[in-house]
Amino acid sequence: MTNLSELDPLIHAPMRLRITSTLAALPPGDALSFTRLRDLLDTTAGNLITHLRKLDDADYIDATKRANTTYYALTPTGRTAYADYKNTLQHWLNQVPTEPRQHHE
Amino acid sequence: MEPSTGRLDHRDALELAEATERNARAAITPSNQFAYTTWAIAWPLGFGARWITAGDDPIIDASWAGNLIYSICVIAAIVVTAAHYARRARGVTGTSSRIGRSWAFAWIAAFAVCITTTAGIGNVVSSDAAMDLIAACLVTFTGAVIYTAAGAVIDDRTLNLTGLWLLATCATAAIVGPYAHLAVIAVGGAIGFTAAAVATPEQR
Repeated sequence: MTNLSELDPLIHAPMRLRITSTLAALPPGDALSFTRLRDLLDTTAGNLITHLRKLDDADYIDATKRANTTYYALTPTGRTAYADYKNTLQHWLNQVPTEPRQHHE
Repeated sequence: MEPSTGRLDHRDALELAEATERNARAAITPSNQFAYTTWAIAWPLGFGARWITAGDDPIIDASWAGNLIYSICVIAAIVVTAAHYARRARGVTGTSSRIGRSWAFAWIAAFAVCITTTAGIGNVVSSDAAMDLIAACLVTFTGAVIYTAAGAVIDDRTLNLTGLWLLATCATAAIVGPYAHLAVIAVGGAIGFTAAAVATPEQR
């Protein structure tokens, strides 16, 4: 059975998962501006920059600067990592019985 | 706002990924349903206004008002549709952006040619009825051809069928002749765009 340690730690954090999921929604060949990405994720510029840098360092995203605007897109490596991450989660969920969810206060 | 640190359990992670993808796709993808609905309202209002005010024995004798309402409806629909597409595409660059610009340019160029062609024909045709028929059919034909061809190329069945429906509407209007052709185009357009809006799934 897949365990938690097999999940890509770079993606398996709420904000980086949301960044990769948002960029994965773009059709191949498209990129999203920093401002639009920040608006879609409803986060601060500082927080977003921190997580984008980690993804960039791992070559999961490509940053292109054009006329004072930086555009971001998933690289092929990033797309593969994200697809593998989701497949791993799906595989794991298919193997465990459905349990009633606990409410967290 | 989501916490930026911390860990997720597997089910939460998958749900978060799928919900984020779905929301992002809905936010950046223009809604064809919205565009069809806009034209399903503007098209029959515009052509309907012209129909009831056109001809030698109009239902309402105010052709200037018919032309004004028609112009307002068409311009408003163009502005609303363009603003919607621009708003959804804000901050997106690359292939989609290039396709969007080409699509917009195709419409602008086609209708610029429509206007110049109608003006050119107007210089040699003296009949108001003939000019009204040519102008309305030319606009409908141009839109229909773009829809039909684009729908075929991108494999969008709704777009393709809407184009074919408008072609049939145009042919019927031309056969019916002045000034009932305006009623045919108004009703045909309303049916075509409404059916397209209903057939287009809402983005989630």
